[in-house]
Amino acid sequence: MIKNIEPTSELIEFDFVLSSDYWLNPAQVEISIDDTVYANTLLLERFNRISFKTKLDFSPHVLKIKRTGKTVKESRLVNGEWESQDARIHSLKIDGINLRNILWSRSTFTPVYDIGQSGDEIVNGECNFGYNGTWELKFHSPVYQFVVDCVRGAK
Amino acid sequence: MTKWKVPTDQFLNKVKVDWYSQQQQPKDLDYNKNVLNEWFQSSKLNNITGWESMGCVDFTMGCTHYIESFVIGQNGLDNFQVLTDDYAYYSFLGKWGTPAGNLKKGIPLIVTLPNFNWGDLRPDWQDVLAECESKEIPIHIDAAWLTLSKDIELDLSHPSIQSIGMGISKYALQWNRVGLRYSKQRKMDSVTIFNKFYIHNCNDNLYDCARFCIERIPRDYMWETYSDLNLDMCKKHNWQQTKLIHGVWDNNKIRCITKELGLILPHTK
Repeated sequence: MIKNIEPTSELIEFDFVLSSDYWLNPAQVEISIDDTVYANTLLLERFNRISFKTKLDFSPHVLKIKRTGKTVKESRLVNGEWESQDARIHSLKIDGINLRNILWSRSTFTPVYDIGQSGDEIVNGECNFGYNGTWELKFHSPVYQFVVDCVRGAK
Repeated sequence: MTKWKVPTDQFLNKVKVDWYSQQQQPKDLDYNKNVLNEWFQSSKLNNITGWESMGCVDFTMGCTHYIESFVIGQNGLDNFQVLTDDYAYYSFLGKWGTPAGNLKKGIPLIVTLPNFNWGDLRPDWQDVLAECESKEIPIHIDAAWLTLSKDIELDLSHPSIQSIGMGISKYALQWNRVGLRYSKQRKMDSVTIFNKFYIHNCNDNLYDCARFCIERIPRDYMWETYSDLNLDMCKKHNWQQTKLIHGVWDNNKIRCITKELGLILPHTK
């Protein structure tokens, strides 16, 4: 029998939909995995689709979104309502799997507060980026095994 | 269109009777999988190469399970394609075939090989391979009929071929239907869940039975046993052989000859 050689890496597609709201300047996001940048763009549309494929070794990884572009000038009061610049993860599919609850329970957002602002140092499960900061999701490859482990509560 | 009938004989029937009448000892999952894996690879009448490139080997409950798992894994009927003259099952899903040459770039293709319309690989198979390579189309092969075939050549290491499903059911084992999926990369789908999610082993009984049967049935049993009869029948009726033991060309039409080969038992009529 010819031995089937188990793979040690996989080709995975990441498919983001990031929603955006602004009246002056759009938010900017930089998406990276293990510090390799795959996208760096302004969120010009209401819904912005960003997708890329990459080869992942079967090991732990960190997916990051660095959100920038928010200054105090981006917020204004109009007829008693605040208009501002927002950026949100609408959805994230990895290898065709919509991670939904996994994002809400396993990601973290580390805001960068302006002078005069304060809040939690790290916000768990925050996918709505009202502040500049860095969103992180630690995962591992193979991705199907990561999802299985999350659902089982094994990790 | 001919009506295909899976061949059987007294020997294959006896394997079934033995399974039900003898006391069985369970084997572990890996043992059963290794036996099946070795069996599928052991054909001397077909030339399937590139097994080592298919690193992920998973149990299935047959090729229909392989197909359904593939469909689930694509997240919708619009996210895969099939060729014309393929398995009717896809049209039952509301999925119609695309002619070779018009395949959509990057959209996975599932294809039946060997194909029952020709009793062989598709005549356009080499063109399909080239098209898929140039358009970056992953290919997934439903090889349900491979067990009844000879002289089939497939190189699984071809960069476009991502997975292949094989089953034992065509050896009159429709009552068991176990198979293996060979793939280069697992996706989250039904087969992956059955093999990797459940903490307790799934379907031990089914896999034990499959292992029991194929330990008794040589991989090329049908062609090794009925090759002469097939040839004699073809000469007698002026039929042309195909690569399927129970299929011939009769006046340019494919025809199932299971009945003419006498490979229908009273209880399988």
